[in-house]
Amino acid sequence: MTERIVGARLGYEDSETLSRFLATGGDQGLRRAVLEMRPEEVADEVTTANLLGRGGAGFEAGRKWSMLRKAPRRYLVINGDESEPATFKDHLLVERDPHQLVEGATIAAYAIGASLVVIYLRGEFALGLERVQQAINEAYARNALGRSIFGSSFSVDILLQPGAGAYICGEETSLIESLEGKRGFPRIKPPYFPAVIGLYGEPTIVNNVETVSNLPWIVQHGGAAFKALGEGRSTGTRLFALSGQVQRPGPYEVEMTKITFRDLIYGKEYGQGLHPDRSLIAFIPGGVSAPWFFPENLDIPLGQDEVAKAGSMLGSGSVIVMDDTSCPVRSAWRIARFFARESCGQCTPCREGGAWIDKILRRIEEGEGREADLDLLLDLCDNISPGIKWPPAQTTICVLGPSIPPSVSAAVNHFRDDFLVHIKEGRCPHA
Amino acid sequence: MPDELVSLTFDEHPFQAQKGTKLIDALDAAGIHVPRFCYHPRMSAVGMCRMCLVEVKGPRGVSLQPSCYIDVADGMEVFTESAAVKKAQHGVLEFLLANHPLDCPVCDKGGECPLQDQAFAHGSGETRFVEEKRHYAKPIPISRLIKLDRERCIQCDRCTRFADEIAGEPLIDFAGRGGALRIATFSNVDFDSYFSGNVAQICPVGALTTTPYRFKARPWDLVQSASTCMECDLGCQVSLQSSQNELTRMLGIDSDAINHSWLCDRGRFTTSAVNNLELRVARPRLRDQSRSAEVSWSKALRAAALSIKRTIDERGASAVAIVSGTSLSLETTYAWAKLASDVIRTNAVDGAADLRTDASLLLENPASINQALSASKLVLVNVDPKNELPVMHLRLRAAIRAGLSVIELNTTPTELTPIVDHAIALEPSRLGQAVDEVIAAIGDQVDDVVIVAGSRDRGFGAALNTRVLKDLLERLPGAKVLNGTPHGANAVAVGFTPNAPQVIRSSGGVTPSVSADAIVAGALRGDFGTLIVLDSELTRLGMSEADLEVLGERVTVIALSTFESATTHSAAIVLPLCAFGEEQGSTVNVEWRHLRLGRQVEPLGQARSGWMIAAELASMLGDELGFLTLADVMRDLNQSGGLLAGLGYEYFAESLDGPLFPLSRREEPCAPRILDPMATPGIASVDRQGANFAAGRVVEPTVATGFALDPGKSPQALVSAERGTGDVVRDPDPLAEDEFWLSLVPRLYDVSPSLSANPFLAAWVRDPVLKLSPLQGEQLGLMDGDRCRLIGAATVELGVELTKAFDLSVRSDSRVLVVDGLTPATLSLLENQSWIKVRVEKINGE
Ligand SMILES: Cc1cc2nc3c(=O)[nH]c(=O)nc-3n(C[C@H](O)[C@H](O)[C@H](O)COP(=O)(O)O)c2cc1C
Ligand code: SF4
Ligand code: SF4
Ligand code: FES
Repeated sequence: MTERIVGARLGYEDSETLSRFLATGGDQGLRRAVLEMRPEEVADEVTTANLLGRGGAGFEAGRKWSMLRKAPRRYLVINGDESEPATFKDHLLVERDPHQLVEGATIAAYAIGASLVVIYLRGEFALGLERVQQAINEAYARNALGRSIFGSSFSVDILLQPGAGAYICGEETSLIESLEGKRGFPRIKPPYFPAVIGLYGEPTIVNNVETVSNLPWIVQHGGAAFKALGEGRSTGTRLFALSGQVQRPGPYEVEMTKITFRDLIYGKEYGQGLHPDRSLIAFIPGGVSAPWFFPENLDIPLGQDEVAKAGSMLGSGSVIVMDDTSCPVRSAWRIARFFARESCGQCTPCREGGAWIDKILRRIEEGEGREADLDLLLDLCDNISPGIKWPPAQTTICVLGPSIPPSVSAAVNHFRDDFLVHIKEGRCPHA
Repeated sequence: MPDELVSLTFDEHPFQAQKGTKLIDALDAAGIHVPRFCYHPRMSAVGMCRMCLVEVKGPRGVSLQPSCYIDVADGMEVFTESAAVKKAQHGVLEFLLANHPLDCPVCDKGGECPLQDQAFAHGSGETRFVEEKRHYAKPIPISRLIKLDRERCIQCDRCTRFADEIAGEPLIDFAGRGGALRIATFSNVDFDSYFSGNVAQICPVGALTTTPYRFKARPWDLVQSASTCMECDLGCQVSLQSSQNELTRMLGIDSDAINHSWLCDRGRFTTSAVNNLELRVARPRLRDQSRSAEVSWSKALRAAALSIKRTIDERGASAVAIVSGTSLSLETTYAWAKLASDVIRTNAVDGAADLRTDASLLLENPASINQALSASKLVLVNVDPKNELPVMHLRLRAAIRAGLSVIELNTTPTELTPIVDHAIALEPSRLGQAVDEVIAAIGDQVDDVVIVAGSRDRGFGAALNTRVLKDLLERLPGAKVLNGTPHGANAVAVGFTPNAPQVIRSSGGVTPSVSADAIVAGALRGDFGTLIVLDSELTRLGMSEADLEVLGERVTVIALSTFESATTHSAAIVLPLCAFGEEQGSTVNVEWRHLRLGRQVEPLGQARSGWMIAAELASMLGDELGFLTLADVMRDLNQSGGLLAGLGYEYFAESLDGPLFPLSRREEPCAPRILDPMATPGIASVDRQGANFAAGRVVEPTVATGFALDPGKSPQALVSAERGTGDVVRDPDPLAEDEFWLSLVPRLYDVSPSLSANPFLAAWVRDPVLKLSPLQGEQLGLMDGDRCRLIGAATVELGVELTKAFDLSVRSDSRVLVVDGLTPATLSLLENQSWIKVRVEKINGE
């Protein structure tokens, strides 16, 4: 059994209630931070912990905070837009432990000197929105939020904002545009790094729900204790959302680097393996924008650098399993279609390339493919993400566009024969 | 700081560029053309189309970057020819063409389309796209003037950026996302903007077209010349294009001094009026009793000369009056000024009827448009740029966004009011206070103040308007002045209006001293024997239609006109004038910049240039103006000295923007410009017409006649000038309980002959309304949509419109009632005095 941090309360039926929260160490991190530590000390603990962002890019939270431009007004935005297929870890934290999220967000606000926190939650999280709002209200009521928190000189407000119904609004600059009431078009970096020019032009930190949910524990136990878990750059624990064709899909909190993908998929405490008589053909280690892994990659540990070295990423923390009944053409198509539909449409390569790839894959899956389509698919991918390498290069503004090629190229390169069968037989052999 | 240079390399060659320059502009300057679609040099960059990607070496290695978006930096290494760059550009182009309908043969943009050009230059001959293309209903009218073809759209954000950022009217925006991203209007709200035509000009494909030009011509059949829009005196530079002797369209040229490539729709679509032959005056006419008959030029001219001579003989030269309220060419204005002063010798002359301020104040220390827009403080006095000098509104918006501090002094709020630093109410009863407030708002930034002096409010009399300007100039001795009156700059420049200081005329000539208002009033009283109306509509100058019916009994009206109007229908003698685009010449704009007028088509029927008619009348009156060709007029004008000393056509050979006058006092080099076909598709090159201009054109032989003018008669003042003497003006009497000051303000689409003749714009003319803030409405018991009776010099019935924006900008104790729109009816509210009081009553519905 590994250590539980963000998921520590999830074993309780009433994990979302204030009484359970307070009975299980709630508020202690925040009290310690605002009453006993200076903001820099909190930030130092987070830097010591080497807490990596859990939103996808895996950027060190402490380092991101240190890049915040000096300005009289600073904002903190908590990204809870989680809209990627097969990603459901933030969903869980938001619904099942909203107080921890509010406490973590308040600690982060204290550490960076933010005057306002906005929690941007996916609009479809109806229950989550309700519970987080209640947690905010209750925090105000017991002075864990608002003026002079717990009698300290620190004051901050939290605003809850339902998302605008678009996956792209999870991208931090697009999220900021959306918060400003505009169309969710990502901004161009440089110059629009949120830490420099963010919400309403002010320096802004955007952190993921899970990232800040770690903060109460880190403040309470110290950064070093967090760093003691895991190995190398991958410290602490992470919530993995296991899905696809496994016996026991679901969210699992595991200590970083300590188990392998084989453990996660086949382990008794985790996925418990595939369905009887099925064999693994591929799995995606970090959400649909990550390059695919194959059976030979099963023994890679769940650590950021370990996965990166093998050419993929832990990304959003969702692990998707494909067995031999699943059609790789169809899988690639479904992923490409998702991105094509969710593209904001600004950049020509993403808007047009995504839609084109979607149409080609659909045509192949429906039995109308041509052999020439395979090279065409790869070349179109190359025009969105030159070299189709990892980490990706891009001809686009944000990385949604370059999220299309990894799945498409993995499928085409690794399952070429499946494509050819589709093309020769004029139908999907798995259908 | 502005001169800080950075060193960088382009394809391994060293270059230097000014800090803050966009990479794409630096590359252009170095002669390296990077393909582009979304970038427009007059709008903020969005980096959306991804066509302009180049490789840039940075701290983290080489990456593809949008050259339109990033600034040059010291030590930057840029690669524009690498395999990666070519592949990326090729890829973007292929993506853009994937869903494009490729209907170039039936697309208006075909032949001048940046996408087509790119595809020809760099595209592969074959398509790899075998899927079903996107389909949309098309074309969709997004306004009365603009049609949208979504299938052709490449989502470059130029049109939407223009509407939002430049025009400040975000009436079109993107809808949907991904492949479904498309341009849309908001439900029930059309893209009704004064500036809508610009989006068709800057759309890099044929997705946006203008209704007047749709399917009218193919670009390669068009011939073009550089010209100047004459719908107002801002002087927007245009490419005037025609096909088979018919004007087809007008496009804005990117003049750094003036219009930055923008045009208003009124100017852009003026060609449609010129082409409306039914409402053009094509042949001279004489009226005999109630019948009007076409006659030869010689007969018509002889009749005109006879009328003038008879008036002079019987009642003296000053009984001949000449009036104009539109923008005539400089040459025509000068010829008529000389005819009036040296031949007819009348002082009852006003070629700037719209000017309601002292002309001499405009010229003492003139500012250019660019100087105004970079002033320490810009003071707008009685001017509504959007409705009077529309493109100035766009330039002002951009300047305000860039930090220009504006103080607005107006009787009625404008669309700039919400974005200016100080909006100060101009009311007859608080003039001194208003001036004090302006001075206070300027504070100690007095060094570089520019005043835009307008004539907007017709209810705010000329004498008061002049007094305000005079007071301001006395308190701000160093301030420069930019003329803000939309018509009459040429008349001021050549002294064809009272009080113009730099009068050009031979010694012994007669100086104009009767204002247009006084001429109109005098004509109705029968003070004149002959009234000459130069391309103007008397109902715009304060006469009612009923007045026109009886006018002919009191005075012989000679109307020179391009379009039919109430005036031409009642005039005794009608002489056809060339329309815009039918004659060569030149003009000066509000900043006294000399600009060319291009001739693209033959004059309609027997229409002639105004200056020729003046020359012919002079000879019929037994005198000579001394010119047979356009070049002669220019030479004469040049030699006459004054404000325009040094004038000539030679400048036009060298520069698109002509010189500023007076030359001796104005040094502002005209920036050379690269005409970027991506920025202004459709203008591949504009003729540098200097040579043609200098040669001039030969006039058809005139008919000699033998009237002798009696030189013994000296001019006498019939009516004294009401305008602009600068004398102390009496403060207005206080208002009675139920009285208000009348503010009568013009709109861009106020009824006029050229608008009525324009099939595409006539529908924009709306009835005038009483415009109230909701608070005023409450005080007066009037609601939106009510009708009311306004009682001034006449009684007029008007609809009521409540304007929310007024609540923010109209003082709560305001005693000003705003009537929006000039018509013969609303003009009849005015009396011949400096301030107008009105009362208002609600009309109860049936
Ligand atoms: C297309 C796209 C969608 C994204 N969606 C999310 C999201 O739903 N939630 C999230 O936390 N981060 C998302 N991100 C990542 C954010 O841009 C950002 O990196 C993250 O919120 C930073 O938080 P962290 O540093 O705590 O990980 C997305 C990024 C992209 C490019
Ligand atoms: S890459 Fe796609 S989603 Fe990202 S900004 Fe460009 S078009 Fe929008
Ligand atoms: S309609 Fe034209 S200008 Fe507007 S986005 Fe489309 S291509 Fe660009
Ligand atoms: S991205 Fe630079 S021109 Fe469009």
